[in-house]
Amino acid sequence: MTEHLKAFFRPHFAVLMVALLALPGQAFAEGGEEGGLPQLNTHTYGTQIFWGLVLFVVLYLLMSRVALPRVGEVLEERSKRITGDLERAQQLRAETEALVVYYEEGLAKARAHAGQVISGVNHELSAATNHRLDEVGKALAKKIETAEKRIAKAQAEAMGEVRNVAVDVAATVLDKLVGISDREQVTSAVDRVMGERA
Amino acid sequence: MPEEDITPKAQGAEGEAAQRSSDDDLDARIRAASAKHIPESASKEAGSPSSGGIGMGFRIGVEVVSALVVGTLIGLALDRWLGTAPWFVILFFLMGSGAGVMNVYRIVNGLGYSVGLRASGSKGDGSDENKM
Amino acid sequence: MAGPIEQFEIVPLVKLPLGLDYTNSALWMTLAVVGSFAVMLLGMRGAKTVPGRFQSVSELLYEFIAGMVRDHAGHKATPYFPFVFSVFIFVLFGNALGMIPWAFTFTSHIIVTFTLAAMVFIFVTLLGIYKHGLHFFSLFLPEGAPLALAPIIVPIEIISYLSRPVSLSIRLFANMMAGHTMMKVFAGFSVSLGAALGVAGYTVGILPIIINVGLVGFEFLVAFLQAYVFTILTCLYIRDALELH
Repeated sequence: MTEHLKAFFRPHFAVLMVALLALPGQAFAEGGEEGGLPQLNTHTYGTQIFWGLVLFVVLYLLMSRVALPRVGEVLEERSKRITGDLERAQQLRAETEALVVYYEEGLAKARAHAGQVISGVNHELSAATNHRLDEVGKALAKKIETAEKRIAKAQAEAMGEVRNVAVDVAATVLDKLVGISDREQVTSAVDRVMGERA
Repeated sequence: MPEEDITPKAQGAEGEAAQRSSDDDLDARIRAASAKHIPESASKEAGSPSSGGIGMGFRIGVEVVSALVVGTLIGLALDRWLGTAPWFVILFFLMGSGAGVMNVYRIVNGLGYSVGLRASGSKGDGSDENKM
Repeated sequence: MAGPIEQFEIVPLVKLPLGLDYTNSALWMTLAVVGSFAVMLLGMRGAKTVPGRFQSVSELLYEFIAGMVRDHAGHKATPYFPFVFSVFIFVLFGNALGMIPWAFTFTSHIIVTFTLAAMVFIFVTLLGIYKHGLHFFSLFLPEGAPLALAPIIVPIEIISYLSRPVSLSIRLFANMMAGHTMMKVFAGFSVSLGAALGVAGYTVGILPIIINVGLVGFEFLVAFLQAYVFTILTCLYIRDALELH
């Protein structure tokens, strides 16, 4: 503002100097009567002071009693209304914020719950699987055991058969070739040989 | 853990961000509106004391002339009253020059228009008193 | 052809006793009062929360001065807002109405501006004395100044204080008078050029007219600015009186 203010005084300055230097002299020369600078004609001072004061007082009364209170009222009312609106906006915003927080909390809770449920199910599932694996494993082991037993039995049976055959063969061979038919001795001999082999 | 795998969560976060940004925007707008409504003790117009050559010159001229006029008038009145012919005029012309210098000093130092040598910045802010 | 000074002539319109004639000056003051009151009231007729055009003007003026009082005179100055407002509107209308051709600019008369300035000055001084009693006069002896210098400093400060209304009135009067004189001078140039040089003169006479158009716009600015300056100084003086340092 100041910058503009100052720039605007430039042309005035020159004219003012002319006015102040040249005109008063002229005015004084003519004794403040007609023809001089009217501003320096002291005869007009009384009326100008009088009317200036009277009209200013009138203006002051009109403004302070009538005009300004009315404008002030309107402005106040508007100000109140705007303040109220702003407060309401603020309040609504706070409510919204609370709702958002509430919603977020609910969401987080739901998420945590879901996680829990899922991990629980996972645990259950893996436990069941392990159990089942165990069972199957046990059943298999049992089956293998019986099968092994059966095989062992079959083997033993087969070995007995082989021994008998061997004793028969040996006894027959001895009998035919040598003429000895001591079955007891042959059996023990075969048993010995088989024991050595085994 | 499984929480990370849930797709709705990602969407939720995005939606939340959008919500938050619009929320902040609203907040900012409410604050701006409040600021506009309740002006912060006026925008101070910047006026540097040294600015404006002729405008300042005019102002200083008026201040000096006013002080001289007042001083001389007091001197004249006293002389007329006490009959001490030129002495009071001379004295008060000098006093008037002093007062003129004081006026100019105050303007230049941005002390406003107040009478009394007050320290710069002792009260209020001199900045707004530098108007024409 | 009227001289550039003739526009400042005081012409009695109604003769009254005691030399208190109702003059053209008083007429334009009356017009300023009526005009400003009309502007303030017209806007407020059937005032609405959302302002119309006229209402905006009066509200703008109100808020402008209210802000000025608040910023430059302080919060304690609110009771004096109507006074400051009246000062502003009176000076503003005095300046602005003077822009109408053949109108009389009462603010271009030193005695009018001095009356206004003296009124402000007396008001502020009484306000200071009312608020601070005799302590108000400590204004004239700045704190920190050696007492031995008091006989010199006190008169100087008193003169400085008394020069306030003088500088206030000179500033306003000088600006208004200079502006109007200048406009008249330039307008006179066109006419005299035309008279002296005939057709060629009228062609050349256009130039001062163009300058005058610019000057008129410029004068409106000055009219406002001077009212503004006058009012802001009033505010600062009120603050000084209220917040004695």
